[in-house]
Amino acid sequence: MKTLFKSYNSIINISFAVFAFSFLPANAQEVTLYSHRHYEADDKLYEKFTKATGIKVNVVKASADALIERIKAEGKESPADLLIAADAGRLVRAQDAGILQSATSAKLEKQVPKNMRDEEGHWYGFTVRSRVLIYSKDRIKPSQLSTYEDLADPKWKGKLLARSSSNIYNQSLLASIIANNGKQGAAKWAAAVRKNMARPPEGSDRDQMRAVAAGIGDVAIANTYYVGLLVNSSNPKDREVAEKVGVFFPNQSGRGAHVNISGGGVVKWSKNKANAIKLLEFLTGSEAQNQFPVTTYEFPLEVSSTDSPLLKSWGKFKADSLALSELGKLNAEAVKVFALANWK
Amino acid sequence: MPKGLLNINNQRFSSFWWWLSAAFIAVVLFSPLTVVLSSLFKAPGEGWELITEYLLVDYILGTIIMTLGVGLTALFLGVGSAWIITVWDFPCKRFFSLALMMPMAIPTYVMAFGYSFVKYDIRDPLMLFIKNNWGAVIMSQSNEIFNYGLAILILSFALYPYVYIAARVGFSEISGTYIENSRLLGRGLFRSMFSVGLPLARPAIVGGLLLAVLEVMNEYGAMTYYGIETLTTGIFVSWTDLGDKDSAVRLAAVAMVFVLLLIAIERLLRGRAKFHAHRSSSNNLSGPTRTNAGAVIAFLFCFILFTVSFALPVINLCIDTLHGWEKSKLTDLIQGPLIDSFIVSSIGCLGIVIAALVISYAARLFPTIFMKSITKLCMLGYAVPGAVVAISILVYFSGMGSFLSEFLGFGSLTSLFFTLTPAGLIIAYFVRFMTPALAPIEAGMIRINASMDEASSMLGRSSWGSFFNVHLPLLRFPLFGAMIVLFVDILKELPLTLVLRPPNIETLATTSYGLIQKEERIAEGSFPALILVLTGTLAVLALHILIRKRIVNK
Repeated sequence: MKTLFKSYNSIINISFAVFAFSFLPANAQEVTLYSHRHYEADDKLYEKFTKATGIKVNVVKASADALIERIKAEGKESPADLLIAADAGRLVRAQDAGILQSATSAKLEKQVPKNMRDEEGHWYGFTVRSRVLIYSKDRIKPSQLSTYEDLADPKWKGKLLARSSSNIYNQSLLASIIANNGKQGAAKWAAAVRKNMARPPEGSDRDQMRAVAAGIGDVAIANTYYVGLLVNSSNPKDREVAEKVGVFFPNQSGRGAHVNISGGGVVKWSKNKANAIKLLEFLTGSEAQNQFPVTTYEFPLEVSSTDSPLLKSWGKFKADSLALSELGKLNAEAVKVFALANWK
Repeated sequence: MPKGLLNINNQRFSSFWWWLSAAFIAVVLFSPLTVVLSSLFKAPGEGWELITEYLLVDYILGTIIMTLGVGLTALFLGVGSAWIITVWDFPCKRFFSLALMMPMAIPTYVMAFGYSFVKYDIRDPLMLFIKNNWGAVIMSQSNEIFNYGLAILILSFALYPYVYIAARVGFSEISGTYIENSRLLGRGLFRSMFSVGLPLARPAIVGGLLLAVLEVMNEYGAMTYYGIETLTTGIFVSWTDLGDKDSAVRLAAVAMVFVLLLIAIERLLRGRAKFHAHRSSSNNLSGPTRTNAGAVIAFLFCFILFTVSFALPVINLCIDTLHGWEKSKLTDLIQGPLIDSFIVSSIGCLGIVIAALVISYAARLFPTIFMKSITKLCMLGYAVPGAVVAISILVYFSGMGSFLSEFLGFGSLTSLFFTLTPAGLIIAYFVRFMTPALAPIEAGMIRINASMDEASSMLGRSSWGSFFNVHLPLLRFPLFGAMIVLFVDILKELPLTLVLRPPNIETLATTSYGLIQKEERIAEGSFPALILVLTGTLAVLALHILIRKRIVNK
């Protein structure tokens, strides 16, 4: 009977909790996120934020594209205050769709480097990820590697691994190559790299590293934090993979390694704009910035200022200083180039 | 006025209500999909040229290979095991008759994940061997073929239960005398399957097969996992990569045409034959046959099928759950995702079954082309990928919401539907899952002899009276069956739930998906996945009891 009452109780609780919070006046301390990031570590950060400020954090997690559509459809009735995406390209797309508003604060401008935020404050980055070359320690010497452009060389035939071009990280990498080498150069590069691949693109970044460790190919294109996830995996096989691969930051004598951000922008119809700005300030502030390298193995906004032994072990690197808003502007171009290159 | 005439008028009036409600449901279910269909008449987006020139052929080819591959494999596994269990006697038969349904409780992405070891421990070493002996080009090609094969197998493991259940129900309807006659005439049990079992159980089997094939068309997670391109993955490419929603919706319309074709083929396969019940004196086989060799083969077939489609992936899940045991939070999981899952699944499956009943009964009362097309329209939602249904519903209801608030001064419909309550999500389930409810209920309706309606009506019962006293009792098995299938379907549902849920609502599916697929935090994600599978298995158990009862009660 007691359990019956309990479950009955929780059913009522849920249905009323959902109803109740809507009847609270808008100045009740809360902020609603639509987030692409699935990390559980983020929830812990939000808890800390609530503890520090008393502002409750509500979250809907889904893909950025779906969330952008949802905000568009909901319009001024949208409960969303902050849209969080894992890529600058998506934030620019949201901005272009007209669902973000300019939000500025002195703190944000100080905490977020200029190339990692929108000029008018439509969005701000709060973590940095670098897309690098992951190589087999057994078969490849770092001295054999140099730049992204070098991957187009026929000497890599049958040796490269990369995931599908429908992945936004690949699109942003290609967008940066378009920005630096022009569309023609990028098209040649994509076609040549596709021809050098050991197998058609499939799976996740981690799968590319696993294939390098297994000997299917020698060099993979992947984001750095996935190495961190493999190193700290509860699965011994993943840790074995991490042992076998090395991290190489390309283009160090040139423009630097390609970087991207996770970031957020205040939604146009936000009813809690001040709270949303506070949360952004918290995520870009020192407490959260110290957390990210430890929990998700992403770089902080100041890529060199971390005590994480793992991130330090990869060595200092030069990051491409391209304004990340460019990645968004060139995204559509990149997708077309990939399709023409038969890089699926 | 003679009494009879009044009766007829009454009947007409009460019948009209069925017509009206069916039409209403159809309008609610179909109108969001007009967002998809209308795209065919709009000028295509700028990505369309790129798609038709470089991608569309691959999408269609991939779709055909996968639907055909999984369709045939699931047909073989489902019908084969159902026939074996119906006519043969072998050890553990009762256990297998239940156990072979269980894979239905495993979402495809969990199944794919449970078999991830094949990729790393079997395929990669094999590919390495091929590379060392025949070079990188051959390896690359073999890799692609291997992936297709693996994806077909894994999806078949997850989806054959749809065929199996349909075939069991279908076979149980066949009078045992037919099979015995076939055997008396010198046909073995195996050949009898083709000459008696399959033809008589055809509507049921084809219905189950259709569900499985539609699931394949809709699959996104497993396809991208193996690098296979289908119309559904193409929809996501054009929507998320090209940022061209119009082209995405256009592709969805192409997929819908594909499905209409499949439904037409199903009708064709069903043929003109009418399949009324054969409720003759001897219902069951007088006794299943037992030969030693047959028993061994039957046992092995069922044992292997059960192991690969259920035991193996679930054992994998259990091991992973134990790995992450200290990190799992049982109470959080029960208070949040488990209860949320239960609420949406229960409301969804109850509502959908009631709506399906109304539609199929109205179609029986009014066997007009109009009613038939209404039934078909309601089934379209199953053909459209979940994410597209989600967007259509958002666009449609927010459009209606702003219309209502602007012209009629209504409150905010959008926030009522999507922020305050999961109403929008549940309507989306209606749009998406009407087919698994309508298919068995329709098949059940067809099996009720038309003379029953005539008799009931002649005895003075109104359409309501006939419905509650004649049809409902006869339909109770397909009804409960549909409810259980729906419950499990909604429990597993991912794309709609991800996009349309109100803030802070997590279901078992969204939780396990986030942890396993997105974060690859297998140890933590396995636990909600395991609870999801176990809950689904309990529902499947209920379905099994139902089917047994049906066989015994007849």
